[in-house]
Amino acid sequence: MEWYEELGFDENPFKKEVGMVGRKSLANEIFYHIEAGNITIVEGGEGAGKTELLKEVIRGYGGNGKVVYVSGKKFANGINIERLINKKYSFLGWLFNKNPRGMILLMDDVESLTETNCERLKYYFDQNYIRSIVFTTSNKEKINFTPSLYHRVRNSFKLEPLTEDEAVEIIKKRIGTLLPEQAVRKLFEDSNNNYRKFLKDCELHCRQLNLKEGAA
Amino acid sequence: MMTWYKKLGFFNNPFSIKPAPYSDELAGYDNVLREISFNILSGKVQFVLGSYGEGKTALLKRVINDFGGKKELIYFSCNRLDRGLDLESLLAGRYGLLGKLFSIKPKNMILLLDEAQCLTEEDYRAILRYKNSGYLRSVVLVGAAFDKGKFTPTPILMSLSGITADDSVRLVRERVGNISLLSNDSIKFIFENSNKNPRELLKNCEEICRYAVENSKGAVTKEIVAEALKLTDAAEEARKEPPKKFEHKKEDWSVYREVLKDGNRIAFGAEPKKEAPKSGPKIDSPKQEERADVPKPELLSVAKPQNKQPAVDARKQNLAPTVQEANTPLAEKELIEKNYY
Repeated sequence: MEWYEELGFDENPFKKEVGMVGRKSLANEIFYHIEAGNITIVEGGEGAGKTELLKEVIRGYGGNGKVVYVSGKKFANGINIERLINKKYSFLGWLFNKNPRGMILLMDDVESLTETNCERLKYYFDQNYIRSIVFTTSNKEKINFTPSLYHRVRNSFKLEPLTEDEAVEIIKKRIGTLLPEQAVRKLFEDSNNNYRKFLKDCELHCRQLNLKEGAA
Repeated sequence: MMTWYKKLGFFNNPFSIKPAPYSDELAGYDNVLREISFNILSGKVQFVLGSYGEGKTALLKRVINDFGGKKELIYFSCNRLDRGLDLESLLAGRYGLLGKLFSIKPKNMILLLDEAQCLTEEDYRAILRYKNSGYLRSVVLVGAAFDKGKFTPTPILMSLSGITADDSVRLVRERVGNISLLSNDSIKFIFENSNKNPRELLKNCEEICRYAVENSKGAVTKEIVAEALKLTDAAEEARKEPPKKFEHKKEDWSVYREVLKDGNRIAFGAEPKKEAPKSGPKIDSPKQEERADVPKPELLSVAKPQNKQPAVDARKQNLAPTVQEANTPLAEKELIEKNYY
């Protein structure tokens, strides 16, 4: 029996999807800009919730097929965006007459962009094959946008790190009241805004709970 | 959550910055378009110079619409180049998606090159060679910076010198029609506050209209403009700032970062690579402090409606002999425009 099964969970509560917490207004902004056909950048440190934000977008669009999610790391290593677009649609569709338009491109954790890819993005965006783009990154200065692409960026948002309350809420969503709130807050302080460390610590504590169970 | 434009009855964002998706009109650029078309039909090589957001891509799209029907066009964007411009492949249509749109007729093609500031001297000479051999009927180069040293012999140079306030009203009306939310005066006011840049204008209109609709204002007034723009100031500043660590191989990029930063319209390029300072024009990357001393060179401006035949007049004024061109310092108010073709 896994430790979480002993505690009554079906799956590891620290690995499952729980959705986004807080950030409602930012998510709404992003949804607006996607609808309006704009390019936006979301900047945030590690663990701030960039990927979660994009997942929220994917959930919001409910699998209607137009959202393409790409991890930026893969992208920097030479993914050809033309192939990316074409993969989504058939070869025949590629030949313009049946061209599909209005793709929503989510580029997660972008660290750098080649000139060629910048130019392709710009071209497809201008022609409306891509309806809108959301870039997330830890530092937009590093990305090396070409001036013509950068000039098209509509807005740039900063994703602040999670607050203590938000962190507490996330843990509650995951494990209910298994850990006392005080303990969770203490763990959050100790993690020093490192969300992954915070999660790991919480999980460790839960595992120890399990061991203590027998003694208690 | 209904978007503001849906509330007003629009299906899509009417202020989308994608180049001219809504109309055939390019407000303020009728003259430029005529000029460009004339030059294409006369088989010339021309360079259209304009900074970001002014409408270069929109112009190109229009040209493609006008001339592309007969499948005689090749469009390519030069900052996709990994190595030098490979005209052979371009002509054979091996540059993928874009080349595919236009069928491959090896002779008499019209070549449209976007981001032409990325071209090297060798590229330009190759273009001229292909032109002289009859593969290319006419060449249109479009870019954000023009380095005279690279493009020798000089093509016909046209600079987008901006649109007027009335043009800006036309531009916006094309997209939204006669809605009462925006008066012509408020459009002009927004235009003034957008550095007179068409793209900025569109972005600000979107911001302002969104603000007005979401806050249930009936009509956009100057106060509303100020409020809406102020709210996005922080975001705007963050966005307007060009990336600081911009390590691009091509030296030209630094020049139009300068252009972007202080809106100065000098866009001549950095020091040319050629080691012939005596014969080549001395082109210095203008520094902030020195800029005040350099009188702005007058570039051919065809976008002003008051000139009936601006292009022709400018040509009459500028019959500079060819030989002296190379030695003329940039600071002189002379349009170097010599037709070699």
